[in-house]
Amino acid sequence: MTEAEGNEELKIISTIPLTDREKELARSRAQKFLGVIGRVEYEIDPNILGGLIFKTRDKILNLSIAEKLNQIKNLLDE
Amino acid sequence: MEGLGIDFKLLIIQVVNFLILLLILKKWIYKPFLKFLDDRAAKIHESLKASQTMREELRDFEVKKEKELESLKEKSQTILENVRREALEEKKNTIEMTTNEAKSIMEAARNQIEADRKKALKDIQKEVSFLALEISKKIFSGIDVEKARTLIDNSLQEDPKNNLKEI
Repeated sequence: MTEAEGNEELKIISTIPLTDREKELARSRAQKFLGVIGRVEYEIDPNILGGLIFKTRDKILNLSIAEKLNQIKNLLDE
Repeated sequence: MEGLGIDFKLLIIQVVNFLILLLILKKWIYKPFLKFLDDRAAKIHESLKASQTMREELRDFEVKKEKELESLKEKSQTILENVRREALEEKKNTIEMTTNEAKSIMEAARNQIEADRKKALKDIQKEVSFLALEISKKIFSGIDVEKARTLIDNSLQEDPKNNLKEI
């Protein structure tokens, strides 16, 4: 992994502001599943309905309720 | 002889007269009369023969006519049989064709109904899933902070393998 990849910017989206413990846990999860990350930006978006979304330049880890509901809807629409 | 009252002279004259009469009758009466009788018999014979011939011809004609009638009857019978058979065949074909058409129409209608039913079901399903999604969105958008935090905690413990995508 290169230095540039290691300093990749991460955006964490939630419906409410995260606590310090949650931020730490979220950063740790992001490192595990998205790789080494640099600066983290936190965003509040009620449209995700719950849960979290981790976003880097080229990857997205969508653990939101909105995504789960969309998956269920797609399953029903098939 | 005179004693018996017979006059020889008169007798001889009468005999001569009779002979003359006989000759005259034979010459001018009997012969033409016999010829007339022979001619008449010949004519009757010819008429009988002609009558016989005509009767035979008539019989032959009747036999021939009978045969022709028989032949015509057979021909008409054959024609009737053919017409009846063709009519039955036509009727059978028509029934078969109509039955097949009816089957095709019913099959098409059944397929159409099934397709419509499936489409209606799909539409309802889509509508229900859309409504369910909207209701869920309403429910989740109205949750309190504590529940929102629980959802965040759940996300942090979730195995995210299936939710990781390349952009």
